[in-house]
Amino acid sequence: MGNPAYQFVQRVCDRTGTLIAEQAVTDFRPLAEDVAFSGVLGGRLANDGKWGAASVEPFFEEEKLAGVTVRRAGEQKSYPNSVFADQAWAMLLAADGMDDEASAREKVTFTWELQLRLRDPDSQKKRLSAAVTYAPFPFSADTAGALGIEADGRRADIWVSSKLLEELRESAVKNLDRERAHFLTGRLLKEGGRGVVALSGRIAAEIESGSSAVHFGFSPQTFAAARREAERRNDGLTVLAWAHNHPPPCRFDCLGVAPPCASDNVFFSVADRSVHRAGFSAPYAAALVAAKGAGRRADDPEFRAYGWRGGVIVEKDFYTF
Amino acid sequence: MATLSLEVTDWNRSNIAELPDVPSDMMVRDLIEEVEQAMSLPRDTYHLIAGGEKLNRSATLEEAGIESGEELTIAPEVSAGAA
Repeated sequence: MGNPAYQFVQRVCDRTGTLIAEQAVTDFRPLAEDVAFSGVLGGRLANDGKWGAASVEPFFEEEKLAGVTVRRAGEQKSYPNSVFADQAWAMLLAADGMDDEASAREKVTFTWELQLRLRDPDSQKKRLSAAVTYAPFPFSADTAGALGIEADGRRADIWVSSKLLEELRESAVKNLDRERAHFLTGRLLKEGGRGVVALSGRIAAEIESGSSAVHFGFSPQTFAAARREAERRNDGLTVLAWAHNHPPPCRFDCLGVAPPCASDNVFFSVADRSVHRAGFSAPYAAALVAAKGAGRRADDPEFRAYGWRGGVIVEKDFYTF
Repeated sequence: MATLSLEVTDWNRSNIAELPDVPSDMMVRDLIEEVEQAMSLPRDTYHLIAGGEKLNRSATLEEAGIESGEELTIAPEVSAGAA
């Protein structure tokens, strides 16, 4: 992305305007990938990975910084400041800016903004020479119909095989006291100008950095082990997604409560979003969360799917095949 | 001081950074920063792996036993969770 004379800085303040956290924005990769993916899906770019680096420039509305424009290989897309909202939330949590007691007493609000700042030329490091090459998007030659997907007019970016969903359900039910994670493999399809993932396999994530009822640690070795396993299998499937469970707050005791309570633990947390941004930035990358839904037993978990849309992680529909 | 020619891939091999002139006395953390910048990754999240082992960020590449031509992997250290 080059090393322009300016940088984007994200600031989070409390309602009095006191600065809580500030950091340079550096993770433009989801946006750069989104631009290339849109170009490939639209037939304007060849899927050869030869898109070069992206440039990121500010755009303004009424003299205020309104977002960034990302250019790559003749393609360009503009993204509003709001695409960085997840990072603001993560900054706030990392800075311990949330006071639970205060939040309980009154509604505590924070504001964040994106600023454009000139870099101090004297403080700029001389960078190493680095040439980055990009792999083509891993589109499969298969069609949805050939995989047994009967869309029947349903438009979804994410399809999960019934067998895989059952395996994930079993994993979630067995682990009501700790989080477990899986790398999901499948095929990336081009359907009607859209990228569609058809998930059918899984690789259990190795527990390298610990796991508890409220977290699952992905170490660098966890990712590397998943890659090795996917390459060892050589089954034509690619890692396209990940899944994990959120155990209910009362763990296995949940099963002794009748009727099932109204608690709902199916959500994509700030931490989950950080995992997705850091490890699954490809525009087609999906995530599944399994957890107790409102009014449902914990051994009958509900699933929700998440993925990228326009550089933002959003909840998405998914169907089984 | 020797220079190393290194190839760093991200964990799913979607990006490959070739760095032909890396000083052997460069700290691992500085190389991570260079790769993060080249691949537009978020800061303070990633580590380098060589031979299946996470490299000590405070070591130099020489101290870490990295040799020219070696392929390294950059991957994040992150936690998912309901907390």
